[in-house]
Amino acid sequence: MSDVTLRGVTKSFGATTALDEVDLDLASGRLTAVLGPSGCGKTTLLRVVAGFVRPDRGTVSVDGRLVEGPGKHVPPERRGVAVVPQEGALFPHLDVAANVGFGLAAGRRGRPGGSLGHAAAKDRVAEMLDLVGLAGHGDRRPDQLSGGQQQRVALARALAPSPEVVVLDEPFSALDAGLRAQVRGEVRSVLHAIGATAVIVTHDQEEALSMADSVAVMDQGRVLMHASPVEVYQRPLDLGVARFVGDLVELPGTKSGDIVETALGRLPLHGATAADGPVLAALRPEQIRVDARLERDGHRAHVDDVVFHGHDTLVRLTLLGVVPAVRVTARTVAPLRPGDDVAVRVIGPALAYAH
Amino acid sequence: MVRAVEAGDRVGRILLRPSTIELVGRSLGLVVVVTGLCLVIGVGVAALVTRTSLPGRRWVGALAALPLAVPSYVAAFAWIAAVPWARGFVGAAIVLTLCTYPYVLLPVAAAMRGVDPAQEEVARSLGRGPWRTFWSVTVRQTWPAAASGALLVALYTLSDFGAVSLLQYDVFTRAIHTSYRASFDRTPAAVLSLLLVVLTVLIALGERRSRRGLEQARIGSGVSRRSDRIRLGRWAAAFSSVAVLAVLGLALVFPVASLLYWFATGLSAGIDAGRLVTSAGTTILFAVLGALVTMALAVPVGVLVARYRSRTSSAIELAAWAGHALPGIVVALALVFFGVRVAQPIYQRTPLLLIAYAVLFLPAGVGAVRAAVAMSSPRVEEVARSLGSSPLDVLRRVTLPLAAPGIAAGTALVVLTIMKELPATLLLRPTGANTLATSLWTETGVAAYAAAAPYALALVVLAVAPTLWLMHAQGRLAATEDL
Repeated sequence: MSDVTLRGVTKSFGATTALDEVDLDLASGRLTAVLGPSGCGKTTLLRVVAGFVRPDRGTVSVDGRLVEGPGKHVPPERRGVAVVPQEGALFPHLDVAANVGFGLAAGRRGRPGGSLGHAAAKDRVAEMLDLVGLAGHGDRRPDQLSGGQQQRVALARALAPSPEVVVLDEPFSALDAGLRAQVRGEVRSVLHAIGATAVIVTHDQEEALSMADSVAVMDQGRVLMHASPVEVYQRPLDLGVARFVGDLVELPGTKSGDIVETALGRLPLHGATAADGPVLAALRPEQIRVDARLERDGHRAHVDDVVFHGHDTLVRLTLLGVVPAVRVTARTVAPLRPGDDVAVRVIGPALAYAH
Repeated sequence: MVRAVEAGDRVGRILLRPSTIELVGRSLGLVVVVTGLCLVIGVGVAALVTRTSLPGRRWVGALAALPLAVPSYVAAFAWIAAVPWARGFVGAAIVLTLCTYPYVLLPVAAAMRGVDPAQEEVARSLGRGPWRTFWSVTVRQTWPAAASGALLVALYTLSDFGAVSLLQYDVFTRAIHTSYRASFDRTPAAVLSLLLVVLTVLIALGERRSRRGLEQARIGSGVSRRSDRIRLGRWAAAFSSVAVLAVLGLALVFPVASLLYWFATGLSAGIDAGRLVTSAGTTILFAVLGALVTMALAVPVGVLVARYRSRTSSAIELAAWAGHALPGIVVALALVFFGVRVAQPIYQRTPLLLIAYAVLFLPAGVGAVRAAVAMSSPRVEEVARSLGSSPLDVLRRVTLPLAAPGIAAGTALVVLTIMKELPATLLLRPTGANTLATSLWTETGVAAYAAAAPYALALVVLAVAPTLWLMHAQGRLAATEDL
């Protein structure tokens, strides 16, 4: 498995810039998520890495080998970049074993591993099906499999020829919510088990944060931030990233040193991301604690709206005694109703961004 | 074209002759009447079969498409041999309508099955009754299908040569053939051909215009369901059944009965069995060879058009579409000129005939291949590339195996159409070779109905098998627009 390096990759389709000077390092043996809203260019990025789209400018190397650059274009079949598309795209005319063995057939050139003999290929197919938990399903037709099973066959098919990189394009978007979490976990453990260099493209924050070793946040063709999931969530580089990777509570405030003064009091800051003066302080909803007992220390707030999610409840509040009105969102398990008056306090440090 | 340009100022005189203007009027009159009747019958039967509780609708649906297997000149022969007064306009209109209404029926039936029932349910829930919903939602959505079917009918009518000749109704094709046969001066034939092509293109453009703004995409990925059928009352059911039976009787039972009658009459006089077998053999040979040549060209073009959207591929598609519109007699005449002037060695030999077939039926072949290739997702091919297959490998291991049923259906379609083809075969066949179609033509030319009947019957029997298979394949492929 190898690392992938993109430098200054730019691609326009007519007037639309899909990729704008993208620099990105995908570490060997790690799972990187490319996270962004639809239309941000993340799928184009993936197709550039796989060799289906030629960028206008910039270079791509796999394991130090230049595969895309000025006057250089290694065709997809010689790159060793295997793709798992949305909805699997299994070959409908082949059974599961033939699907998984597709990349093992004789005639493969220019790839490490070379072509395998018939018996070795058969063993490899069995090994891969076992890996994805579908041992014994080799003679099924693709249409006899559930959506989750199809996705796992697609993964086994991509991994069978020992590619240098696996790229997954929104692989779970076609699955229903319950199945999605399960297949996500299975795919993650398979990729970790074999130490694959993998890229997963997604617009689902939860998916990116829970699966990946590192997350690259994209918007309008640019990579805004590339860091560990914890860092991307807790210390986003700018307001755009902060808003995109999770719900955000935004409070106008004044920064001085490591402290920001807001309607919710003086809050400590996570490092310095803005100059002293008026800023926008940002918190995650789970940092706002709601307490139904008013006598406790805290700021008073009025419950406007309650959205029940099962595992917790999202509460929209208006802070009392603050002009102009400030609205915040909190996560809580307390049984609240619109119209209740509550006390709120803040846990942990805030972020501050230039206003 | 070259012929017409060489003639120079004589073109104007030929065009302005009263007989030419009369010819335009007769041709257009026939086209309008036949297309109108086909729309009524095709949409009506399609609605009855797909959307009502008509008794025996499955059988009706299968049988109603069968007239496709009956070449128009065979039907014309069956009619004229049974009812001698069926000459001229009335006969031509009846025969062509009964032969071509499946071109409307098949795509409309497919479209009616495909209409999202949710839209009809929405219309009902917004206060429209079942009939108003049917007219305002269902029929409107099937209009593109009906229009493309009507276009095929109009083009078929305009380019039909066999039926109008047998029924002695003078339209373009017959006039072209007569003037080509009548004199060594081929200029009038060339000018008339050019005029016919212009008319054809105008009709095709008109159809495109009528569809503008009606193209529709299905929004969202809803699961397709079947709509509820409209329950017919007793009287409505009886009336519909009688109407449908009348159509089937006139289009299928009557011609076949007439052919059988004349066949039986001929039996007593003895049949030239040797010639019948040779003709059938030649028909099959030409059809298979022609289909192979056509499909050998159609597969690469179809894959290209389906997979690589570019100006070139659009141009190729447009050329193929234009080919749809070229009447057989015009292509045949063009190739006669070509053979006489440029390709003397292959004139009136098999290669030139095969070229004619390829020119005439390449559009049908390309359409079938394109539809079959377009049905599978390009993502599947990209996966194959990323797994180490070169583009040619992908074509061999993925694209073609996936498209195989569609390509086979396209081949059957071309075989079927070549078997039924008359004017090009008549003008370009190798000296001394006779197909079922040309033998039939020769015998009916001298009103030897009993002698002609065996050829007609053999042709229908040969054509039925691929037709049935095609209808079956289309159930799966829904590629009706290319029939």
